[in-house]
Amino acid sequence: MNRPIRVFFKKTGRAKYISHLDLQRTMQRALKRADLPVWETEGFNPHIYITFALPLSLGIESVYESFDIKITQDISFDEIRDRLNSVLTEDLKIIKSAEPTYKHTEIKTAEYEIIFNPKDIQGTAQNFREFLRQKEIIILKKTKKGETNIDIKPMIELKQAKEDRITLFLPAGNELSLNPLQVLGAFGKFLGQEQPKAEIIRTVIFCANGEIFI
Amino acid sequence: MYKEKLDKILPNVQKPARYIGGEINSVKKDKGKVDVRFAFCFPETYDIGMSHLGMKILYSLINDVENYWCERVFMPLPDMAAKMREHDILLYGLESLEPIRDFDFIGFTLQYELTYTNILAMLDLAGLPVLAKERDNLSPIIIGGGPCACNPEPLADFFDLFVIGEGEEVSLELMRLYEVCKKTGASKAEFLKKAEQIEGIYVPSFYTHEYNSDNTIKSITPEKPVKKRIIKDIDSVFVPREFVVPYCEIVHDRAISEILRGCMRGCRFCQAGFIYRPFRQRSKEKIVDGIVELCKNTGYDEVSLSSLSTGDYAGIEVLLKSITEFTNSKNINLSLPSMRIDSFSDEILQQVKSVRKSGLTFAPEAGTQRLRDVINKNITDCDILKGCKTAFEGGYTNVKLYFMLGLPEETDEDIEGIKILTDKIIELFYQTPNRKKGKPVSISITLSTFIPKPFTPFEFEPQIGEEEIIRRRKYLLSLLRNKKVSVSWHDFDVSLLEAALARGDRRLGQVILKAWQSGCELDGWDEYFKFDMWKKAFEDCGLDIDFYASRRRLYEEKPPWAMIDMMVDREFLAEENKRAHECVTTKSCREKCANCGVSKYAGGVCI
Repeated sequence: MNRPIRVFFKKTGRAKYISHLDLQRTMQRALKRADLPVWETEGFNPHIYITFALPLSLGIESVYESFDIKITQDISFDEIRDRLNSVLTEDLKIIKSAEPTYKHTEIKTAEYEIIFNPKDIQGTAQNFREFLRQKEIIILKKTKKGETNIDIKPMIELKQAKEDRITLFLPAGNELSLNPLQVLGAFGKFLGQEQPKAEIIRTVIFCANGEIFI
Repeated sequence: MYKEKLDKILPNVQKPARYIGGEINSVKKDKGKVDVRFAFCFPETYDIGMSHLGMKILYSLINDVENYWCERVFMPLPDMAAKMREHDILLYGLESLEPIRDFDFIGFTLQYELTYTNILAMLDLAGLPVLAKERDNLSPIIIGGGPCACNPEPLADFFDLFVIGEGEEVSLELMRLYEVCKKTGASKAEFLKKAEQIEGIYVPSFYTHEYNSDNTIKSITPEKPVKKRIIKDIDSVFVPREFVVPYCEIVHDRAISEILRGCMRGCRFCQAGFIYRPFRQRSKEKIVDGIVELCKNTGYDEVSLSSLSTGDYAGIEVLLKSITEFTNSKNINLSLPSMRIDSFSDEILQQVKSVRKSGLTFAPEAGTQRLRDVINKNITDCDILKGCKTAFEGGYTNVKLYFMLGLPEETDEDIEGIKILTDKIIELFYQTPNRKKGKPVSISITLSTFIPKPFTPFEFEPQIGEEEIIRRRKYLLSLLRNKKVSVSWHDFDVSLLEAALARGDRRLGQVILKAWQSGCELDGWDEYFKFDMWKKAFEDCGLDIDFYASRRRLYEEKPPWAMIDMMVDREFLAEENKRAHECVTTKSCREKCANCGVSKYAGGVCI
């Protein structure tokens, strides 16, 4: 048997400095330490098959990360979670494992909470609304072909703005995506200052059909 | 704790994961329940330091004691160091993220002479005076150990004490003494007096060095030798059951199993071959059990065997069979560094090949049999070709060869010998019928400059000067005009400085201080190495770099490390030096005891 399993985890605290490539290796080693019956690729250089739903930029935390593996023996979802947690750190914690419902390609949007330090920046709620009221928000985007100017205003959806924090929906996935750090950069520019320092947490991921990615 | 401050600066430094700790198997303790805190400092970057086995051993050893806490500290690169200074972040331990200035011990491992300025940089980043005499408090005690501690004199001004020899037992003895001293409110001087009573502890401030008018050493007082520590029963030695598993890539990211200590070969240029004597090998069962446990606790998919000469393990084939039974079943790659060419049998190759093919490296060191006899590298052209043949038949097409230039007694004929040997290897490849087809043979030659080191038979030798080394290299390059051969080499200035520091005396402390003050650090990195600054530092201190590096030393001369007893007799080294100049080889310890002196201390651990 080769049963696909989706493992949800959070990546917080010190773990936010682990790059995407390093995270893959880290999880492969964790699966080995947990001695789970994980399917490995065959061939000259066998290794654990693992795919991640959506890469996370260095420095951003998340409570809604996931990767897919295949298991070769019957084992309960809870046991997968518990055995992985026993070999991981407090900053990389497994929340649950489950059978995948949606494909990675169905991912459309991610929700981010951005928390500012009141010492650095004030009047965030009002400022950010004004920032969004601009006719267009142009940023320089680096692509393989070179640099192009794009308007990110239509991509940003504000869910909530409070005194020290805002919650945004941003496009995510293969077709179109926007990094919250780029929004922050543009916001800083609008305020006439450097990119404001903030804690950014990815809180949930949605599919094209509007459902939560599970 | 610097977590919040670090969150401000880390997004803007290269590879931040190496500055934040929190890795799998890193040890966190409740500092309220800890009596002695130890900062293990590796004076190089995380990527290099995290690959080092010695640190992993001492880290686990200390943390196994409930009320001791060992943390890791590495040298930050300039971008991080600048940000730390800008935001008032003192050098911190990766486990607690707290400044090491407040720890009880700061221990540096001395692996390479060109990390000496990094030690000063790290002490300074920690907010501490670099000179030992300017640090009055009991804590932190600055200690050093590792191979370069066999001549600690150039660093004497900066350290409170040095640990000579193997650290597993003596480190804990020292920490226990400190724990008592701390509780009774002892002063630093009182602690050092007691520490000196422990075998293997050298306190430089208790010794006075006097010089002759020709700058050689006149006297070292008191004439009280410090004998190195060794673990007699190697199977009782502490072995870590787990390693901290880094998130980011490091130089050697794999499980390591130490299979033996010491070397029985006696290559006359090799410091490790003498200072780590006697030869001791761990039992097969302990090695295999250790590898199984280490892989289980780290999740590594590669394990490497650590030793000075893997092929000298008695029963190596049986050992490899047991290891590969486990590694093959778990898809773990086994790598074997430190294989001598003459121990390279078909069976061993089959074992290594059974998982994944890694490159092949041989170190003939010299191009002719005569010169290999001078350096006592007892292998023949025939051994080398046999090793290469086995490799070619096994499907290898790439061979890496290490040679040294500037060895004692080297002539142009020996340089031509490198060319002749290379040609023979290429010819051999095309004569091997079952070689891998469709790919040309490629030979990579790495040239290093011979550096005379203390406690070797060549400690009396001058280093060959720059002009002559360049001439010999150019001559070799003119001979090796072949697309199948690539040659790389190290900068001469680096080797010259390494030679001076390796056999330097206490006066070099001023030079190191001056060099560091004028901006030298990360000297082991080509892009940061500033030889002009070093030259100027020597001049400013009225010292001659050639006096230390390029002078023949008499057998009777007292070396700066005369108070250190590495168990190998100086008379033996002088005798070996004479034999070298007569081209007479000395057999390995297994064949015939050469009476180096170790056996009289070690009692029964020599072969």
